[in-house]
Amino acid sequence: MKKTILELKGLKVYYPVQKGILGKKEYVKAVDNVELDIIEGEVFGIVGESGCGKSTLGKAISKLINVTDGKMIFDGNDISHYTRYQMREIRKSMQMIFQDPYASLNPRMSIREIIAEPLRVHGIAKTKEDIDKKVISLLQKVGLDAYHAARYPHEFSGGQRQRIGIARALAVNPKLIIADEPVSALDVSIQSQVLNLMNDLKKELNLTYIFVAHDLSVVEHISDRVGVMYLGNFVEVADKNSLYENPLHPYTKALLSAVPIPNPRVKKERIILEGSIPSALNPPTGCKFHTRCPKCMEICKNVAPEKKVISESHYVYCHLYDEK
Amino acid sequence: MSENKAKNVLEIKNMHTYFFTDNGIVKSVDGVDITLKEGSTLGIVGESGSGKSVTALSIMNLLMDTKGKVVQGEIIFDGKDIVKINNEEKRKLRGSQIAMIFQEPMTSLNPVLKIGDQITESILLHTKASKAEAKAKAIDMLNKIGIPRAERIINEYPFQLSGGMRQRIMIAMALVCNPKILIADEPTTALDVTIQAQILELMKELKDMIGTSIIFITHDLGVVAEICDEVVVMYCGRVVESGDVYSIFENTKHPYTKGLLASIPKLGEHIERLESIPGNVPNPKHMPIGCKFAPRCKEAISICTEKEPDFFEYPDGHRSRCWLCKKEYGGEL
Repeated sequence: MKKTILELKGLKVYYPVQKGILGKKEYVKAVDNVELDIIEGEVFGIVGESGCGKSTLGKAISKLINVTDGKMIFDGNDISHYTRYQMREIRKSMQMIFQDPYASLNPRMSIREIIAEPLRVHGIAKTKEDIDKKVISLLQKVGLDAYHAARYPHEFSGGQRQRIGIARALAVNPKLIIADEPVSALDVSIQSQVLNLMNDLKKELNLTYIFVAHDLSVVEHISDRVGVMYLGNFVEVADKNSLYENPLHPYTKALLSAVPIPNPRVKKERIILEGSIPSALNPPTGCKFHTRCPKCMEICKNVAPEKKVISESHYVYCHLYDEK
Repeated sequence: MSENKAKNVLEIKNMHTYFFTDNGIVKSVDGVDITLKEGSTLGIVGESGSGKSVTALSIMNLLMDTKGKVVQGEIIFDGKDIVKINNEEKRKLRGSQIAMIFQEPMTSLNPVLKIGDQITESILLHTKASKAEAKAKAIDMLNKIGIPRAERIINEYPFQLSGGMRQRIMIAMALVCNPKILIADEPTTALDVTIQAQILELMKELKDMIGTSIIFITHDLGVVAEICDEVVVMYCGRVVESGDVYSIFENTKHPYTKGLLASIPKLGEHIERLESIPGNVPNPKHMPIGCKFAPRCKEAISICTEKEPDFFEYPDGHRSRCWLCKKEYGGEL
């Protein structure tokens, strides 16, 4: 039986923007009415272009930003309106790995202090011996050595820093890890080391990942299921194989066709999209993708498409798949 | 290489660019040979710290405000060694004969100048055109690169444009004087894939239209396969492998290039584990003796850590700086 670990129901995150002092308050609808289930033990990849709301969604799930509306059911509890104090308990089972390994570690703390902090805050290890033992075992788990504990972040390379970030996230034994572009700041040779590490840890510790990234090849490699976002909402969600082999939404098709293939003999048929992503302040009416869609129909301009279930693990939001 | 008749527009011979910092000398580029053929696109691939951007800045002579200097070697352009010419002559080349576009279109445009003024600046500087002629040329260029309503855009400011549009403007600025060489330093890295596809398509079209030779610096091997004719792979300030794009991808010789190609996840390929190159790029202040890649190399033999290999050149012009390639052909180690 598959267990749902996280359920999002009509999740909305709006950022208020005010034009002038007396101006009307407007909202950037960064995440708009997202419905999603995350199954325990899976890797769910979220892809999309900048400004599609993928990072905001990741931050909203870990409540680093407030949810405007909707429900967020984690492990049976609706955490969407939990206070900071209530969230502290939840964060033991939900941790985040950030994009920039240079900015997400405090430069004035030693590696030992960085990893010990969550242990202390959550009362997982209390005595000095306990903490030291735990820190060393975490460092070894992510492929670093015990002597690294005494060093400071500037002494490490980008890949090593990302390992430290992972060790910090693992310190509290979380169930769910939200990784926001964890490898995009790393060089390719280092990127594969970190991806392999994340894969190993997932199996070893039975983790669930929400993996946010813009690189479609990386997401295909690590994910079990993938959701494609555009302007604040998913346009297509499917298991990895059906999404990459049989993409249905015109946006997914265009994204996949745009990925450069490291083989000089492959000459791909490109679907070149016109223009760039519209502003989330004034999203287009109807289907939000209709302004760039090569297959736009009359109905797309006015009516937002409903969720169309294509198969058990594949659904899409597009009028092309309406029953005639 | 003699079968290829194309003229060389740029020849870099044994170039060394060092940075004289307070903590000692950093040899960012340490003996690089690169040849750019007329009308071709040459890709320089490498990880951060490999010296690919410093190579570009050395060609453009944009190091004078840093602690960096080309200390040895030649850069032959148009029959002249452009390392040795004076600043006045260098300034004449820059922008008109050799132009450059940068990674961050957001930061490399001047935020307080109108788009039109930024494009016409190099026309007015390098040609005798009047202001009106320059403006007409700028509009013409914008039309060429597919920017809608060019007449209005020239009166707008960079913040009014999207990232992809700004990169198009950068390309327009670089190409407006019909340079012989365009150096593009990670021009699509900051862009989304759909926008990247637009820009790569545009660069291919413009190359044929204007006849510019391109040096394309990137870390993305997919982009290299897409746009480049020749490839140079750099590691720790040296070229480790070079050749035409097909032989680099299909007949890879150097273990570093092999490792890079195996490290990237590929669309449609389902494998459990990715190959990876163990370890990290060495600290430039403590370079290993012998082959710079030996400490991370899976195929390293004893000589690799003792003596640095020279280039081994295959009959098709493919070169690899590796002892194993020499051994493969029965050469004395």
